[in-house]
Amino acid sequence: MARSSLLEVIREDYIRTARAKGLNRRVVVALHALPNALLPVVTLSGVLLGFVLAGSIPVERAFGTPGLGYAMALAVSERDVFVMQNLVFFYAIVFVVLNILVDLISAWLDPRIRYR
Amino acid sequence: MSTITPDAALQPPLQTGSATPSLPRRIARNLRRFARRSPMSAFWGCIAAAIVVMAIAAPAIAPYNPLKSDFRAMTKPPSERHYFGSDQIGRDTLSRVIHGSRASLTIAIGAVVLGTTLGALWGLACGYFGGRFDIISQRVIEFLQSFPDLILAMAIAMALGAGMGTVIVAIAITRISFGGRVIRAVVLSLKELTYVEAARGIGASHLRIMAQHILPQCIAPYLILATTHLGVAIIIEASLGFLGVGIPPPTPTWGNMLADSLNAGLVPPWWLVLFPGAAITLTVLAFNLLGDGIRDILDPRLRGAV
Repeated sequence: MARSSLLEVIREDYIRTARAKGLNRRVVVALHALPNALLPVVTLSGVLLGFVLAGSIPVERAFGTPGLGYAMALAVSERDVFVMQNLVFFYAIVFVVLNILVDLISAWLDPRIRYR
Repeated sequence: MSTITPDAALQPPLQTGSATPSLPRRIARNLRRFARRSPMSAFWGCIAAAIVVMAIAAPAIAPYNPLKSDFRAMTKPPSERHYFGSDQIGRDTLSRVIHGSRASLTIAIGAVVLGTTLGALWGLACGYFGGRFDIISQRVIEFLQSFPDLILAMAIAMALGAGMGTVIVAIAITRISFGGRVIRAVVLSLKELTYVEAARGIGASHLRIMAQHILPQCIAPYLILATTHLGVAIIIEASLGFLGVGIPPPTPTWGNMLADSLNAGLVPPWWLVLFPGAAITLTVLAFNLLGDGIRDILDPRLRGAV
């Protein structure tokens, strides 16, 4: 993902301009290409965060790690509705906050993205 | 006003031949073209098809009854009698893996078809009508999206009680938002096109424009979405089974088998974990790569690019 998007960005004109100015290749990649190439990666990571958050439940159940996921698995197997409700709510808050962070990072990377 | 023929609406847009041959031949030709353009995903498509066939023909293929215990072979490693070993009450793991594919595939396909179709129709209406209906619908979809998939599915499955129908509904609800988002975006760009305007100019009704002119263009994104989400649905189904809110235990599903293996001792015997896990991995991989291949061929933006 990062590779294909960097390959796409590196073909842009402004990269050639930067190289023509005589800038070091490493500087060009780090300062000109990387922020733009990271944008799709950051967007994708927002989706994957949900996957990882939820994926921690079966993993914690399998390895018996005492954590939120294990509490969730326990609440489900014991039909403990109140614990379940609160954990679902908590997970939703964490997920939403993480997604706001992802949006902020992508706005920081690409100043064209603005909330209208 | 003429009647809307569903056949015309469902015709795939990639049909290019001048003469229209019979439907089976057309499908065969499209499949051949698919295999030529991306042999890799055709290969994974064959594996996915093999898994589906395995699920349908499960009773004929499986060497033993998946529910019958053999008390002479309890927790035995793989041997000539039981190729994949047997579990703690002597059930044959190979038979259970084969039968498990039935539940997993039924749920995955049922949930994806139900959820994505509902979402797609909803997205179609949202994108087409716009306005207040669209704004309210988007808020509802955002609400659905603010929960991680598995957690929402768990909560719904737990609230509705165990059973196959429940699990299908629970996973389908988590799929609605994806279908809605994608199809709405497609429809938003489509409805500004000239031919839609022309259809409205002739005096076609909203229903006719949506069904005849916009829906056929949504088939490609729908197919892409459905195949890629099959893999996710299988994972969610297995996780639900693993956590004990899926199909109730005696029925073999891959998730249930993994959950059972945890009770087989402090460290579960490797054959009880490896084979259902490998079955899940292989199935998800097959459907994902098939979905990638379908996307490469059907998505006009990616056409030509690799």
